[in-house]
Amino acid sequence: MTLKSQERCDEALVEAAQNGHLESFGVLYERYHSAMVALAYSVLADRDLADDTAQETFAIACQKLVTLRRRDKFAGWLASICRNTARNILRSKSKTAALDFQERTENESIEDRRRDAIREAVFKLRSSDRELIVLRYYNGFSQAQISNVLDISPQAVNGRLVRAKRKIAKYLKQNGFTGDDYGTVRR
Amino acid sequence: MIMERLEDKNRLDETLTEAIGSEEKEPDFEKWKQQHPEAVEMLTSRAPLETSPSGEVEDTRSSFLTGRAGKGPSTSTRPLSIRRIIMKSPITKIAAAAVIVGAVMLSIHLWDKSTPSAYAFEQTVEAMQGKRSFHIQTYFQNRRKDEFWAEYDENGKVIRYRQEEGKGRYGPYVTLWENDIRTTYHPDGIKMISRIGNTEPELEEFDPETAAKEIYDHVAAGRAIMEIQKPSPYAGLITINVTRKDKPLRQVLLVDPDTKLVTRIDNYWGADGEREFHKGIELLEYNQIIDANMFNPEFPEDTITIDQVSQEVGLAQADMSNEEAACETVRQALEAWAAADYAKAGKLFGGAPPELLLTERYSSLQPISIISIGRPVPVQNIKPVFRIKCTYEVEHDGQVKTVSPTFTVIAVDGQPGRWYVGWWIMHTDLEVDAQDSIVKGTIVPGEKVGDYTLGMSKDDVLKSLGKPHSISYGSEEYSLQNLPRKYYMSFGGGISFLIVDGLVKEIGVQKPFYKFTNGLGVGDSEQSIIRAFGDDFQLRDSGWKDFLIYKDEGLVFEIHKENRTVIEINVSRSG
Repeated sequence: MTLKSQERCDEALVEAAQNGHLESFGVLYERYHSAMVALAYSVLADRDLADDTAQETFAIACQKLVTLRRRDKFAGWLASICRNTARNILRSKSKTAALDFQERTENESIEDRRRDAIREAVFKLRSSDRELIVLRYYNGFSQAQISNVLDISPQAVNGRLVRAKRKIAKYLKQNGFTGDDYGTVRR
Repeated sequence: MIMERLEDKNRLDETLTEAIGSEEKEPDFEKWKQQHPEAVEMLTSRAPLETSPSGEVEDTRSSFLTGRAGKGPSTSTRPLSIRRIIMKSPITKIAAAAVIVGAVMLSIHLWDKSTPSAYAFEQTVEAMQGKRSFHIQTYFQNRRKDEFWAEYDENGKVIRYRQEEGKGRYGPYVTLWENDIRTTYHPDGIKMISRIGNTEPELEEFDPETAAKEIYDHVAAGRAIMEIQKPSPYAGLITINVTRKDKPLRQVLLVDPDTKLVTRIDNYWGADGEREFHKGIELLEYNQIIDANMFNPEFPEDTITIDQVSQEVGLAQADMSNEEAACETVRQALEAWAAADYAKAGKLFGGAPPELLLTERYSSLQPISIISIGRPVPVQNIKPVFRIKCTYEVEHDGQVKTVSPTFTVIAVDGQPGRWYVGWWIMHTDLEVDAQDSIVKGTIVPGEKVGDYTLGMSKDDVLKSLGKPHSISYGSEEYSLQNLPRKYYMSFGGGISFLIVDGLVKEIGVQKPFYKFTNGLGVGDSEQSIIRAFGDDFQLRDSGWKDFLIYKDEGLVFEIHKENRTVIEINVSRSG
């Protein structure tokens, strides 16, 4: 499905949902749930919290759907709710949501350290770049899908992904990881 | 070199996938629905009535009628299809026959002149005329607000109505009105009866007949533009957009194409592209006979009644000003209560029987000595109301404690020139130490909180408050030696600051040490905020709190999602 046809499809589903058609909202839920989890993860760095945030995002969206006038922009609108919800959660947790890669122990394996370094590199990116990277690699979204969710052009997605990855590579090299090391990381 | 880069790139892709990738979980919408019944209800409430889930409404009413009393009359008020109502109701048939439709039809209202079923808004005005009863649900800022049932006589004068508001743990607030007597039932087991004459203004803004007629008049007079859309393929309802020329208001009406009745009216405020839903009315029943039990419910047997009809209550104003009368009323009420003169105290508390003041809830607040009666602060309302903060000592667990509750003093309905103290008492917390009840400063919207003004330097804040508890922004923590351009600085005592470029941009208050001049602060109810600051706010919500945003005032109130009290107040520049 092309971006435009997906937007048109979203538009019809949103209109139906705005008129109380729950099943249409269900289709939107299934279409964007994974993207919202990834987006929340890009803020929270916590998979469970990201799941909760996505659930809450759809609850808020469900209640506020009637206020959405640009039905073709549903995905972007949903993403903004998700970002706000995730940030509120982060703030409310009073910064206790320390990223787990910050807590290293001497007994960590080299693989763990590399993985942590990569995650650290990702989470040091500015939030807009981090969203792109996480959407791309958390669940393997296509550039077109990312473009729809973040409401930016596919060309911009591509350009920003390239730049973000360069920053990550630079950070890794600064921390002693070479290109050869990347591939040795195992989860 | 290029190959090397490509290999690096591929390795980085793999590494990123391994480091942050996740196994995709199948979205489970059914589970989500079960976990978010309120959200589902709000969405499906917009479905056409034939598919509208009225069960939840029924549940609320049933729990009120039977949950506390353990018994109760059954009601048969489950909303029926409007189609069925309009076809069967003799009232409607008579009303429809009696209507004279203007000869000039506004042709712009027709979406398709060629079809036999073409629709014009006059048909709706006609169908709505001659109301004898309605049952509606109102919405405010996207939340369910009040549910009304009302009956009218043949002249369009209201005979009686019932209003249900909110849905707390013990059920809704219920207001009944008939024969100039208003009965208000509070779900914590208190019923208040007062004499209220003309109720028309209270109901008028919710009257669907009046609303439809007003819209018609605005369009006919050229004050609004009406666009009618074909019935949507999903809901099957006609959508009508009415855009006012004289104000940034768009009303969206949904009309049943069979009955021509309006089923929903939503108001959106704001300029094009920025409109936000403000409030709405959903018509659940129209001109259907309402079960008489709806207007005569059985209250729980242990309900305490405050009667302002069969007895004189409160204090006579005599030649005192309103402010003087309010202060004198609360002073005499507290003195009588302290002297255990429950008859007098009860009279001044609006007709509260002694058993109310002797309940555990109130007896723990009985004064032993009065320290001060505060300044009366007027509250916006439809009648004179003042809030007065009083400080007095109570005995609690064998210890003397100082409390500073705020009392509401009100003109008695139906008893001109008399004042009473509201039996509800606000922000009293015996667990709060006397030290905590001291108000440290005043919140001035758009300007300052206590001694801390917007625009002051962070160094001056530090000089006054000392070392902050925390400095952070987003997920990052900072120290005074390592400050970014923008950060939050929190201190003990429930105050925090947003600092940008070394200057205070926003001040947050998290404890009731700082109050507005009207006495309101953290811990007060959402309703008291809306009463004081009006309903011209934007509502934003998060998982566990809502935000009431008063842009023009430079104020944001964070409201606890469950108990609907203020948990934080943010002050910034207005606009």
